[in-house]
Amino acid sequence: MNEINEQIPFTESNIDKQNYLASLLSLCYANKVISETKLNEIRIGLDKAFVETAEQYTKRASSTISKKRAELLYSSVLYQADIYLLSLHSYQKAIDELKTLSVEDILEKGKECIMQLHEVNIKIFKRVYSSRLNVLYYEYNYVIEKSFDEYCKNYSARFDAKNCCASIDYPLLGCQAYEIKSQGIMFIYEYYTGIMLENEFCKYFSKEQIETIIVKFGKIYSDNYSELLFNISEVLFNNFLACLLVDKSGFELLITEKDVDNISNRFVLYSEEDLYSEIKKKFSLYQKQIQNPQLYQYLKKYIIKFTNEILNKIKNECLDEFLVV
Amino acid sequence: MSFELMPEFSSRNIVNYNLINEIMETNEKSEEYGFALLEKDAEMIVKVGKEAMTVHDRIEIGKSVTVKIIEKFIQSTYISPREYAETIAKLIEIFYEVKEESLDFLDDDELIEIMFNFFETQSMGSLELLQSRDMDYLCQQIRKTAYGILEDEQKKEEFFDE
Repeated sequence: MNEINEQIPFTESNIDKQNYLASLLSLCYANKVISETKLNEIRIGLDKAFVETAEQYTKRASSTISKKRAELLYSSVLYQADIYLLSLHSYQKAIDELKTLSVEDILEKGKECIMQLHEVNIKIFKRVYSSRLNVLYYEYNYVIEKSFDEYCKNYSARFDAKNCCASIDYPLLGCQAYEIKSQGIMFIYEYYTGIMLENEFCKYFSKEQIETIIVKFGKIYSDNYSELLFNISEVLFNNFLACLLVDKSGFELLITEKDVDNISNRFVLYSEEDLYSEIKKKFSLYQKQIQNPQLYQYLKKYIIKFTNEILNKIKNECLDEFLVV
Repeated sequence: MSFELMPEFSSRNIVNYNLINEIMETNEKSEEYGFALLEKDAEMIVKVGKEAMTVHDRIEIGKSVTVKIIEKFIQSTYISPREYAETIAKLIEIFYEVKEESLDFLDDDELIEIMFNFFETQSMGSLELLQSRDMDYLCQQIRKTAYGILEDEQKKEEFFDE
């Protein structure tokens, strides 16, 4: 592995994961990691796969397609390769595969990965559905009741692989749906994995606890929470973390005005780094109670955003707009 | 210099067939009808086809449709030997325009058949009428159907008929 590392003068961070093959080949070309002959062979292989895809698209009854459609079809071919190469979890391995396998083989393996990922997505969604929250919140209920069906019904890995074909507005914890960089089937995987973990987190609280918090949250902005676009677990987790800051134990959500004052007074002089360490330390005590390590890591990732947000609100003296009191 | 993977769809065809030779080979059949193309005519037709594809932002993915258009239209009662090359070139232009404007609703054979029927029975050999009246009307109807407008208009008419 070390020998390979020495030969490749760029790192994983230089590669655009959303255009993995194109980006990787570009770097290989610039750094002469793959021979020009092999690169041309790859380009010809991709062109050939594109023509075959385009002919399938027109059912071999049309000699011409629009440039826009051609770009979608070509990006679908590239996406198949991207999925396989990304599944190797190593750009060195990806380069080795590009050097040794034909484009046809790489695309075939990509198709297999897509099929497997689709099966995984179905399993994830089943878990999402069985753990769904009983809330009267349209955006949340839409991604549970409709969006996944839209994806299953309309997704085409062959002709429009980067489009997930589902309408999704409900955000994830700390992240709007449109901010997710993955595309197509990978987007669905990432999104519903998030929803699955968030549902699991919400199960630590009773239906009444959840409802009390989101109804109050709605009142901060308007009368009805269902008219807002927000993430349920984010609202709960904000309050949960705030409870940790005032040394409440267990899975507590209720914050009083006195607690808000306490937080403001106690942490107003904290740097972002210090507060982040403090929250992380307090949250680490829950590692055992949150039995799923994937969920623990998922929630932990949000702490940095929470820290930033809570410090801003303390400074602007509007913590009660951030926490549900 | 960077390594560009995405083909430059607007300027190059993915499959490069020897189109000029194929066009010249159609002379064997067209001579039976009293038409023939010179090599410079074939070059002009290829050029017009490529330009039409560029104008309409399209690319060729398989065998060119030019030969099919020639083979169909040599049967026309309205094409004169003197204007043969220009007529074919114009028909190719119309073909790509209609392909784009009809949202790719029709496949090659269907579109050529429709163009031929309009040319023979509606526009009576007038390329201007074929393009600006008949094919334009067809494209409008297809687009209206695709966008659901036609259905709405029909519903409105039915409503008032009642």
